[in-house]
Amino acid sequence: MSGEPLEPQEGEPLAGFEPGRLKDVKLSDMGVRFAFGAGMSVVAGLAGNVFSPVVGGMFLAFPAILPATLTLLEKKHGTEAAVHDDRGAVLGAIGLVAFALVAAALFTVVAPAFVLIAATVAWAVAAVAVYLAVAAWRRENKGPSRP
Amino acid sequence: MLAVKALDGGLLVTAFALIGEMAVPKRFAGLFSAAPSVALANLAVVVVASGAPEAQRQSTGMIVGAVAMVVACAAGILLVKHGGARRGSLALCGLWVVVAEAGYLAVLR
Repeated sequence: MSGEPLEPQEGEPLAGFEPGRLKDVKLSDMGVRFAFGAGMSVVAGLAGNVFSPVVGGMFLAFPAILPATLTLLEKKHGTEAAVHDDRGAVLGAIGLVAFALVAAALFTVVAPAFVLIAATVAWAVAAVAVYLAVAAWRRENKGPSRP
Repeated sequence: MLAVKALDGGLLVTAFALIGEMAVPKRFAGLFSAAPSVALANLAVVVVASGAPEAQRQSTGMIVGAVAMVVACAAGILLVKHGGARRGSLALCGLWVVVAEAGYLAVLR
């Protein structure tokens, strides 16, 4: 299993991006994620057509990508890495609530393109803000890791 | 329209997954496992095909789905830790269905 950090380390930035890691990405892994994303989009679309737009909308937040992501992670880096990824997904899901609230509030008010951008920004701001708050709190208190 | 949703849904999920691959540490990368990729793909098509009011109704439903995802992912921490990634994440998806259904019956119906 790899020794890469699972959560922010002392003296290291709380979050960052390392583009060099892309060279380790397997095309087959991305293919699995593409298939899950395409499949989930079809399921959400069918649910909207068969039941109602509201039911279809619920499926826009179905965690369909997680089984693929967590299973691939566990295979490559172990169960603990999958658990940490899921902890991050909790925070990302809080961002999804912000996305949906902004979209529901604005779609009939302003231009749809602006709504999609504003909702995506709301997701990023909410998810990153909660992540940074939790990471800073963890660094201060040094307790067992929790989301 | 379903084919377009499938194509852009797959592409957006892959794009967010690549961003997640670059992110460190793992917990930060996890944020991108709950990115609004499928939502963006579907809502963009819905807006073009059916108009903003339809997209607004879908977004209202998504609020309940997103709250269910917070609950399911939080429970998933224990489910994955004790059941492994495959069984834990499948149980997590099952829990999402239960919570979302309860939310639909309580709030949306």
